[in-house]
Amino acid sequence: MGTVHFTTPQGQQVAVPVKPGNTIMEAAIAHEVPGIEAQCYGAGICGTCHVYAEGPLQADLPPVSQWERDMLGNLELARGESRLACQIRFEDALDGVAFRVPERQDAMS
Amino acid sequence: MSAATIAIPSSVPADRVVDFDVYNPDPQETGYDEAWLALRDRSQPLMWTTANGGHWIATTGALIRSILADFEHFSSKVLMVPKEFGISKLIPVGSDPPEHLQYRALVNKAFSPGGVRRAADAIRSYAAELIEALAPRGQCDFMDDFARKLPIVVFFKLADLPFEDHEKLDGFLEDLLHPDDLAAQEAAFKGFEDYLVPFIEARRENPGDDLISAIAAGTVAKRPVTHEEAINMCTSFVIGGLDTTLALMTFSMRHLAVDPDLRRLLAESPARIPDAVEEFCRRFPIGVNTREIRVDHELDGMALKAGELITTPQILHAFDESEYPDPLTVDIDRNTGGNSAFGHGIHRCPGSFLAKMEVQILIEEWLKRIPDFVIAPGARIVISPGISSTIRSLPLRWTPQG
Repeated sequence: MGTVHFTTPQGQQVAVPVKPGNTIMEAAIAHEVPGIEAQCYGAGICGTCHVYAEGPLQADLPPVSQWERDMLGNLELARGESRLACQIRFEDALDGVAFRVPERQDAMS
Repeated sequence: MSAATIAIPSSVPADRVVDFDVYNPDPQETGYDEAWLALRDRSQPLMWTTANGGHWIATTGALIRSILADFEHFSSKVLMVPKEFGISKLIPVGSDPPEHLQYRALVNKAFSPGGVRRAADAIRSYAAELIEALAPRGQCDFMDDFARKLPIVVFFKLADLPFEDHEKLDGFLEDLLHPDDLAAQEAAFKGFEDYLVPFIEARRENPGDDLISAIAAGTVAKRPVTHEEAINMCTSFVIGGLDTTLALMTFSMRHLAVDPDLRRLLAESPARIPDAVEEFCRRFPIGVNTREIRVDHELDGMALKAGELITTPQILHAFDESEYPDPLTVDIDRNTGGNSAFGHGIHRCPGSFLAKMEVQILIEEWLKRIPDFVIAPGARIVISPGISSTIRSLPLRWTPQG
């Protein structure tokens, strides 16, 4: 079990537990982190688990796939450090990883 | 169909060929799990079976996950073996990109965690009502008396259909899911369609915040969803969502009936129930998925040809010891992540959050009222295999409560 940190759009700090093998999205939804919708719950097709990677462990995150890059390309609020939380599977080396939740989630249609 | 009549692709070496029916894995009745384990133990990652018209079988977790996530090499247009029975017109499960994404986008919100959580109180109160009626009886057939009832009501809630109609539809749904013959199934489709049509038409004009409205008043490819598409999608979600959820509930309760330590733990620490649900999904996955190979390519050293079929039995992922040590043991402390119970990638089950929430609510409400229960003495619990496996009858006994 590890910990993942979120900064919500309101600036609140939230730390939630996560099991290795589960995704950052699953941890956020299980603990109802504000601002993460994950409408498709892991199919990678809705864009509503959009987060910004923060902090020293950014470089250790798994690389962005072409699919994730294309999906992020549709999001108005996407930036260089954008990720879809459903595409990041937690492992022990990511313990303490941090994300900022964008001010809104725009579902792709 | 005998092996001799099936053409084995010439490039497949003899040590990759088995005669294994993924829909009837245990014809000798040596045991359901044992039959899959025996296949696992004699297999290389990718095998060819001569059963069901001849097709590939992926037998490792890594392979199963990568195939289900890879819509570029594997199409969902064929969802069963053999191909003559397997061509699927169901939307969106049998759709490929780009149209698949547009259809799925219509329903993402209705099935989203936020959308589903809004229905949680209604689901919980109906589940509690069913269990309270059962508790004084001291016995039930869990499949008939609970599992078959709850998911239908949940569909009615998400679709905003009149609650009092659900019993009227039970007969249609039984024939839709377990028809005696093709004519019965066609009649059930027609009956279900006739029931839905007025709702679809009304909500196309005046959409609400429900699943049928999201579909009927939706837009795909910059045009309104057609009547046929709306019927097709509503039927797809019933077919895809009911049998599977009630099977997951029944497998979960069968395990709890034989695991008093886990029952006690969950009754004392309900916060652990979500971990138990995740592990039940991993340990008792019900589906055997099929894909059609889109383009010739190589996988695990084998030459796959466009048009051939490949199956990905979810249970072979569950039994992959490299990911899940001691895989037959139910262990709610294990890391279950990445299992294939709900698929991977763009076709990942839209109802997975809903199904898990239903099972969680069931266990929470059941253990509050019936903390101890067993399988009826002498009952033989049979797993009925197929595209989606199930347990048709689960007689339970307990000391009458309340």
